Amino acid sequence: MILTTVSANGIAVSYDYLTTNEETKVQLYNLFSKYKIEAYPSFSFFEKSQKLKPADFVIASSYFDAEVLGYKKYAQFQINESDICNYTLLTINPKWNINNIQDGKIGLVDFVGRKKIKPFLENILGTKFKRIKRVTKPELLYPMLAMQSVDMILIRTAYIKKIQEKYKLPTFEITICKKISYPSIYVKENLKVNAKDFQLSREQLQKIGFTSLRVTNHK
Amino acid sequence: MNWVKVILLSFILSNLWSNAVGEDVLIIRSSSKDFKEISSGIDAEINEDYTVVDYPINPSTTYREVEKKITKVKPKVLVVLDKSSIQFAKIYTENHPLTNLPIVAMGLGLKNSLAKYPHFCGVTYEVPGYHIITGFRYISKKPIKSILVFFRKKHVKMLKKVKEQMKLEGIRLIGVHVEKEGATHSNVTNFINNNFINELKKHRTDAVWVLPDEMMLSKETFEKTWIPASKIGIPFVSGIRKFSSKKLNFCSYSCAPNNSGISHQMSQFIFAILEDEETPKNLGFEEVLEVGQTLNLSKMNLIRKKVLNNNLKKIEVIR
Repeated sequence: MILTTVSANGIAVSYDYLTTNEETKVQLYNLFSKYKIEAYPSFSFFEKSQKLKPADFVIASSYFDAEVLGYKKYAQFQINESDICNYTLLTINPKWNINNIQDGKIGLVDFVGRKKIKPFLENILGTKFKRIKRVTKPELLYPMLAMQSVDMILIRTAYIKKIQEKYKLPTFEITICKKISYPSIYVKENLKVNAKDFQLSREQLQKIGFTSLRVTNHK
Repeated sequence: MNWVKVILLSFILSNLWSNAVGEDVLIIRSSSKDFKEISSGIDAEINEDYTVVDYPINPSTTYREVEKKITKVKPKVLVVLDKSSIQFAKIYTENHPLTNLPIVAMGLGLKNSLAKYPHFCGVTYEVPGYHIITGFRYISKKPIKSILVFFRKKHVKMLKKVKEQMKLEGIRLIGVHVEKEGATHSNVTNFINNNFINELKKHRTDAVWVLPDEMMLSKETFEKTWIPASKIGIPFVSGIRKFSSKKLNFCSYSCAPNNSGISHQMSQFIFAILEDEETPKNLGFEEVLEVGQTLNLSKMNLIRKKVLNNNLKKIEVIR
């Protein structure tokens, strides 16, 4: 999970990236160079920093409490013109299947926050989990599985190939869950957006893992 | 002056209340930098929802002082971060057999040392072999298919697990038992000094995993055998960062626990106890999940082993 935030005139980001905080910070700064950017290690630090010094812009998943916190959705990141992507539930033990997953321990990158993670999982997998392990980075998921800290992991499908460059652990796919949105850009209520700041080329967007940015609210 | 009485009464009542109810989490830890960092990390993760008291101890702190602190703070969860704190917590549970205080610990060898203490759960501080071996494979240009490890009887259980993990990863873990000729210090010393190089040449593995063991890595064996062996041409890898320092110049690659990662892992135990009604017995002990990596590039160059430069992004490289 990469989090970047600023106290003012800034952009805060909360999503599960494969890069480090510093790399994302640099990539984002290259794209939004007039904004101050700071990195945070986890969703809880992101939430805390937002309460103390809300950023002008936030890049977050659809589970971000935009309305409650005084933001409006401005634009939606996409890959190949799609707003949504797949997440896969993987295990190394074939005993786990869609009918018994609620009895197991699940590991995932926390990009929705501790308090929302149970309803989030229930929404996308249709079941309640009692035992959940949250991590801050996708690359910690496979070691959790190998060392049997969890019975299964929820991982963005597009990341699997990259992570398998490092970990050769054979896995079984339990299911592909209900689609999850890519992050959106949210802007503080009543703040006027300079649209030019967010007009990014495909090449620029590819550097942060996307191919297009669809404006949803022309302010 | 009724408002004075009201304020005084509120003050007294709130103190009485907090004395009755207690704080949520008490962290007892050594005063050193790493433990301070881990404690601060835990505090930052949980202080939005729970109160935390941080209690650093030093070598002169007595059990009575620690017991007094626990009695005063009345935590719902006790966190202990180093050997001394864990020892005090063990004595506390022995002296208070009716206590149901859950204790989250971080330290070495916890699965064995705390096996008979049902109040404890937590994170074992040893760097898992899985991280060390897969991490090195990822940066090594030469494919890593086999690893040699010298071990003692006490390592058997752990190595069995790692061997299975490595099997899934397509890597053979080959062990050499250094207590074949006896388990005393001098038996082990002699075995290592007389057989190490031959074993290396016999097995011809792609790397050697060095276990942090004082008897195997003693002053009688380290300079005489381990250091010269590390120059032969097979990379040595370990879970001790200083082994790949420029000063020691022993291992080519090492991993070490990451403090913020440990804080995050420990916090999850605390949340599980406070919010999910989990017990220490159910939670058990976990291995360190997040590690930092160090590559001694000059050592790799010395033994003429190449690395994959594209895979060095998250690694501390010593040139």
